[in-house]
Amino acid sequence: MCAEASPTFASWFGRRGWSPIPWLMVCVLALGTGVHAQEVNPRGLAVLEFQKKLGDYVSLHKREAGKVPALKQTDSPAEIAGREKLLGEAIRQARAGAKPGELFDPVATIVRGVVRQDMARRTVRERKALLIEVPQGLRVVPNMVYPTTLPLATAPPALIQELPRLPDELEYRFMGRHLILRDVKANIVVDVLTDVIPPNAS
Amino acid sequence: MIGRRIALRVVLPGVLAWLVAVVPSGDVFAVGQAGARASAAPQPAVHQLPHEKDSVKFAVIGDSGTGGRQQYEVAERLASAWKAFPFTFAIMLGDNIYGSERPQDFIRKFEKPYAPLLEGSVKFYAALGNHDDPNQRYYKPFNMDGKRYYTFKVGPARFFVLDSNYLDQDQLTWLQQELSGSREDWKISYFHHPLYSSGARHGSEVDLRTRLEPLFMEHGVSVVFAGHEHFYERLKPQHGIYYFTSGGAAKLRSGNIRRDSTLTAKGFDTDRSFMLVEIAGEEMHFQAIARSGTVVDSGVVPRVRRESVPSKP
Repeated sequence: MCAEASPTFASWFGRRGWSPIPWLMVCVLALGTGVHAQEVNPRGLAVLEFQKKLGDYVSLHKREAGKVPALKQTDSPAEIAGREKLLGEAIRQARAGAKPGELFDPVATIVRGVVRQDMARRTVRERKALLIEVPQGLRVVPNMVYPTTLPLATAPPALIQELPRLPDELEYRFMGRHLILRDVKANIVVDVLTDVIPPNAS
Repeated sequence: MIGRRIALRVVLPGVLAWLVAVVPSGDVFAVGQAGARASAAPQPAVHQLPHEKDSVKFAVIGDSGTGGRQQYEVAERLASAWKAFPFTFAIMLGDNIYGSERPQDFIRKFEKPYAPLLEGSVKFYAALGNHDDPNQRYYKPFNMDGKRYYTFKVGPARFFVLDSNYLDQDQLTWLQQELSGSREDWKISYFHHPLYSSGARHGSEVDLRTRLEPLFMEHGVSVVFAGHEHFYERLKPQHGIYYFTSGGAAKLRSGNIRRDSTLTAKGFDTDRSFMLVEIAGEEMHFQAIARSGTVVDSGVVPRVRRESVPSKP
């Protein structure tokens, strides 16, 4: 359909020696003046900026993943662990100097609010069950390896649903009172948003 | 150790009292109708597995990967059971490898204890638990095909294996599509976290239940297996679905099933355990077996028929 529609559109305007572009610009400007500044969704803009940062990270991940052996089904756990380690090291080097909050920054306030609301709507028992296996007492910084000896505390589906969507390479997890972005294949902490869980949550 | 201490909560009129009793390993309890009383029940007659020629036979292990003595003892019992009941595959309910996940850990916590089964071509299909590195999905003996969540078919049964650690929209959409496209008689799902549980430590995963149960009901899932709680529990059927928790293939949380729970149909939390299951026609037969070899629960589950799937609550 598109393949047919485009030439028709172009030839229609072409026949009259008329370009639609200036008219489209006028329409956009006209529409723009009708939209008041206060109607711009600040959450949407923040999430867009976050998505852009995530996209940049995914590009970096893919670039570094291309430099290490491909991960495939294997009988050898050494191969899996070796690849995970290599990828983690490559990404760490590429992101040397990554600062806490670097990716989260545009949505930090939104995420804090979402987590606070999520915790508030849970009963004490639910919060306890949720937080009981969250690793505690660790200094959490970007680029650290997520310790494989520790459980990956479950990310509650209701919370995931409220948080900005992540690409396949990343997931949200809690460590202590912090929310982290974890690279699933490299098993490293990509970013951390500190103290998102209210101190009295559990 | 023969004796195990368990706490039996007994409701007296208006008074809750805790009694401590010593019962032989392998004893089970059943919770009363209202869930208000609990008692050490006499061993019921064991329901025998039919051992039909072309039936689907499998084992269920959960929270198995400690590498400790208890895992090996359960594994030995499982291997003995396999000789008498030649199941062709085993489902793993998560926490397949606890603690460090070095290459030697995969040997000590999986390959060695289950060597007789692996050598006998028994296939293992793993779900991820909260102690598992998701990269386990690339470990061929777990048959996950590189996926955190996946499905496989054996005879008239289709299994839907979920990653309950991270149930995002993508996974839900996938599940919806797979369930609606499935035409198998038996739809069985398993994952790590129990949607219903009488465990005092964790309890029911309500968040997960809110999202998964409507799909199970809509698409005629008959049975759900979960681990996470380190004991055995058969739940009273919920909306026509039979839920089992079998997370004691190595670890044990002794006395952790709340005796006042209204959910429990049968519970066993005084020793490690695993399950044997046989699907024969319209029925799924099961046994829960303790490390000692005692059958602690057994019975039959009917298949959910599409036309009799209850409507959404």
